[in-house]
Amino acid sequence: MNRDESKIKRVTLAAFLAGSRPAGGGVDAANMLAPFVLSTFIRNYCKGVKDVSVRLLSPEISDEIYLRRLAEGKSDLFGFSCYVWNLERTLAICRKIKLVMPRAKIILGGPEVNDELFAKKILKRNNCIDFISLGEGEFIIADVIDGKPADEIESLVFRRNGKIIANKRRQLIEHLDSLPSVYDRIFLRDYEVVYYSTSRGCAGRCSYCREWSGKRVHSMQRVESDLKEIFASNSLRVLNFTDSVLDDDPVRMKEVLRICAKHNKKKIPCGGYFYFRQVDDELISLLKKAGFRYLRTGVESSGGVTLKMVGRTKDNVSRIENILPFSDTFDIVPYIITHLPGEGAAAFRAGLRKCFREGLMHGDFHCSRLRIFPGTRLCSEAAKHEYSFDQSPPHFAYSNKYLTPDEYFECRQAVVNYMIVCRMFPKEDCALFEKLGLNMIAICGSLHRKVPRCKTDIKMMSEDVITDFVETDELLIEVRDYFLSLVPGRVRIADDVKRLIKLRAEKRRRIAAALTSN
Amino acid sequence: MPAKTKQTGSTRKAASGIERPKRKLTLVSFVHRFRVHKTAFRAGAAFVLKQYLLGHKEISDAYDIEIKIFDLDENDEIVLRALNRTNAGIFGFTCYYWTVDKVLSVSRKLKLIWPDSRIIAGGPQVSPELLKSNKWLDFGVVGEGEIPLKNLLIKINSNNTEYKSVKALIRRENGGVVTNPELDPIQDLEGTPMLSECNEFVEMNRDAAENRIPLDTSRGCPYRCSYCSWSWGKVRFFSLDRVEKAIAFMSEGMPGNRKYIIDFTDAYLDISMRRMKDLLEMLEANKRDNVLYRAYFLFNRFDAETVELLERSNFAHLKLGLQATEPGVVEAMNRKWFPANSLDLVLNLQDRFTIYVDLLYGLPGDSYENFRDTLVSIWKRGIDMLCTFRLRVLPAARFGTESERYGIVADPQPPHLVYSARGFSFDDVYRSGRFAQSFRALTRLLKRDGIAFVEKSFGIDIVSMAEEIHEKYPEWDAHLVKASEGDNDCYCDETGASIVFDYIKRFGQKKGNLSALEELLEVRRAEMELEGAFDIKFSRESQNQIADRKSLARENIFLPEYKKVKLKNDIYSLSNRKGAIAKFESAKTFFMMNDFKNETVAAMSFPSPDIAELILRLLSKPILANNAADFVESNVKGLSGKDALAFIEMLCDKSALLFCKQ
Repeated sequence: MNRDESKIKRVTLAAFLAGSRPAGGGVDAANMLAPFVLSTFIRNYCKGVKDVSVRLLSPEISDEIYLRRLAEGKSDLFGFSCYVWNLERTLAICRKIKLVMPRAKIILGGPEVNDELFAKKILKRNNCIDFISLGEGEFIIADVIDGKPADEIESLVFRRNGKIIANKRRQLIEHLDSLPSVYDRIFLRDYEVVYYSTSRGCAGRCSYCREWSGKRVHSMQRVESDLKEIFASNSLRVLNFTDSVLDDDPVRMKEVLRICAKHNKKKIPCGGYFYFRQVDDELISLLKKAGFRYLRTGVESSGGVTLKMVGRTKDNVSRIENILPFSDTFDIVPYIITHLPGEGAAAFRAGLRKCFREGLMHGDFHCSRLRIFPGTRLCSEAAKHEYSFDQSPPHFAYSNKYLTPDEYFECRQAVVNYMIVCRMFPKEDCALFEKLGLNMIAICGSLHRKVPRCKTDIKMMSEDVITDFVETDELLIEVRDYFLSLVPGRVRIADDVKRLIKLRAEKRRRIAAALTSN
Repeated sequence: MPAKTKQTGSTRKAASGIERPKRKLTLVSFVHRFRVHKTAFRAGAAFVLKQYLLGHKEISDAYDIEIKIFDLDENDEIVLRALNRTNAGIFGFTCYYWTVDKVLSVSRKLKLIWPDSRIIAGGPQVSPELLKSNKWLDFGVVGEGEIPLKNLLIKINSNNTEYKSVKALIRRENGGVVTNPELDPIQDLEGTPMLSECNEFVEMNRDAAENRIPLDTSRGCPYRCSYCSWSWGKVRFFSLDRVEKAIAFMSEGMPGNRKYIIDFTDAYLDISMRRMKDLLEMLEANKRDNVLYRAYFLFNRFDAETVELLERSNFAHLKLGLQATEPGVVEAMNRKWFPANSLDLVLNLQDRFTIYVDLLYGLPGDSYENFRDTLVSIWKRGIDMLCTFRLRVLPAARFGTESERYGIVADPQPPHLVYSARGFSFDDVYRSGRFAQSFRALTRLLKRDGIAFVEKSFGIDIVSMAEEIHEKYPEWDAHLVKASEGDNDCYCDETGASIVFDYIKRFGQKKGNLSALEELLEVRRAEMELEGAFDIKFSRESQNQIADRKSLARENIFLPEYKKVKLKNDIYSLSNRKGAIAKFESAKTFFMMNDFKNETVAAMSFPSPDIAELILRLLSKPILANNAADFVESNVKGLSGKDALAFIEMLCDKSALLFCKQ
């Protein structure tokens, strides 16, 4: 088929952002890369297309306002990137798009619809969706735009005569360098926080994860040219590497770090995910030179058996202990998951205690609830572990044979208690309290019974992850008073109040940054 | 199903003599912006059901009933954790078109956490299809829920799984969904509680931030309009004695200094003129100055005496559900019965009452031009409170069942909005909504004399301005502060006012006196902000976000950097302009957002000496001419944090009010 004759001339690629981040021009919107990557690809590859526009949508704004704007573009094809946080909203707006523009085609893609069975279910339940592309979308959407017959497009799920058909999966894109880069000056100008990946896929085979494609990497030349462009941007404030993990190939990682060090002249703080299997002086000095500040690592669980059960063995397990000695230099961010198989309340609390002792909860700490995604190994093993989980997004696990719902609520409250105490007292204080004979861990675990405000006077930044929260003055004061009542006369109150005020000031700054959404 | 968990407190004696804990029924309602309003206005069903059920011994002996109300935007996990504390085995959810999505997602997760709990759905959105596509719902109750719910609960309590005999119940049988025979509406309301008899409900509304309290004196509506599914035939009345008692209880705990509006939920209050007269006489006898009434009327049988009576009994707001005037549209709506002269009649009452007129857009056979002209012509005849709504095509209403006949394209899912209809394209639907909002915002900002002024000295036509402004200024919409997306109740913020100024300057046919215009806008804006500040209905951007921010601000937790900057600009601009009463509101926010604890104003409350100086300058406006700085310092010093806050609030409010009067 001649490409110039294809009917699709105008394409709109859109995605709903997570949380309450503002759409378009928001400083953090660059974490939604997919529509930009695809639009760059389509512009380069599909010659018949006149116009490709990208729209980042905010969940705060009503569909009716977006509908009019989307209708103005008179697009022939709408592509939506689906993630766990936006699938429901996306389906709702697609339904309305079809009411307003019955002739436009709609294609979905993204990790949330990556599973064939799940994709078929979506097509069955939602007549408004025409296609779903599984896996990497570049060539699939390009073929759809070029008017290739649907049954010839690999990895496409579509509807024909009321039947839903899924074509066979296509090969992964082997040569990443053949894809055009999105990082040009115009793109970068708008964003303060930039997300960049030197690779695609992941070599780890964790049973709860759906990122199960083989790992492929960009060449060093490409990484260098991209990073050069990124670091040259005047808007840049933070650079986050979104590679599943940076140091699975230590030699390559060091090369990436050297490139960073070369171009990061303004010492922009960087962040990335690591295993820390090998930490040596060279690595530390390279990390420092490259400007790395946020070192994230997926600890997931402290239980060896659990880690083994979910497929985290010696090759893909986090060795956080190797980097802990450098916790003064970097912000070490551990990621913890609840509801993992084989981990009951006791084991989970044991893990928490360890984190508390190591001081990890004093910094940035992420405790998320397990999500059981369709198509993952854990999903097929769910019955074995007696999981009760949500088949629809956000796919949360609610209980399994190791952890009942009530136990989970208790564990969750324990995490919150620990974090309140950590916010209140720095590491040295906690050590001092222990010295004074307090069993900090026991106290933290049941703090909400003594100070009921721990349950009510707190607002999490996100309900999905326990990481940051806002609490009231009264809560902190009550916690302080409770601790003071445990060690009468031994801690000087004046110092404490001073610290509290300092803490307030710092917290205000942080929250202001988080909430500066307009 | 035996209750698994131990209940503290109430227990009951089973026939065998062994004490069994009571079962727990939790009635869950979701209310739009509950966090802000704290009113149970739209959660009435749960209260009526609770009152009714507890009136029956077989239920009150066996069940503890609890009502839980959540904000519609509350995160599911928070709702689940709150429900966990009640440890209930049976959950009842009320499904309206605006809550059904939330109900489904919460109940799905609820069943995952407690698989042995039972979930009963009730409300207008319940249908066999709802149960078919959502397998975690155990039962559905159709129509008025009192009797079927009571019968179902009795069955559940006696572990009798034969649900066939429970009328108006949708249930599961052998993997399928079965609908039991219908139940006639309750004819004699003697044994059925009035909403206003539910003390818990009345108290909650009385103490809520919003000052509206609903009052139901009847159930049902005799008419069958095509857009409505609330047509349960005959109207059934509660006895006036009960209404009187309810009103007496309601007004008992009302503080005398707060204004209340009692909203009659009856379809039309004057369906029976005789009853209305009796009712009004009763209201007159129980009259209180701070309690006003509001209701829908047909108006066609009003005489001089009725009007007198209405006025005497403290009726303040009369509502007319006009919807549309075009004969063809009226016929499509199945509203030929609606008295054609009621608009004229109600216009004559303008100087004695506030008149509200409701209009719908997106109706089949209507058009954008028609809608616009109707709206404008009613406005020109003196009505300011024009409420417009986009047509919702409820599946059970005639427009839903016969949508093809009317060329209607509508969302089959809630909120069932219309997208196009015969004569109305999507673009027209959108334009109608925008026009109605812009028109409301403009008329609210400029007011009638202001509009006459810009027409005369700038040659601006207010109608074309309302039509064009959102095309010419894409950002205009963002500066409309809306009560909700659904209707046109809104006003424009400060930037909106400057957009209006710019529009008049650029597109006016004549060159008028710009500084007079500027002054007019300043004064009007300030007046409006003052109105808006006292009106809980409005808040900028996402209501939730703002609610959170405000509550955080009250707790002195943060002062975002951008706010500081904005505030600084605000205060700067104030120092060289007049009439900016609104700025006092900013100042109040500022004070609230700052830590007042144990510190004096001058030393700590102000982030910088600059701002401190400006605030003092702000406070030394003519109203507080006698050395305001000293005044503030000497008065705030030594006060505790809370008192200081209250003092400043008082100061700001007072000065703003004084200013307004001048």
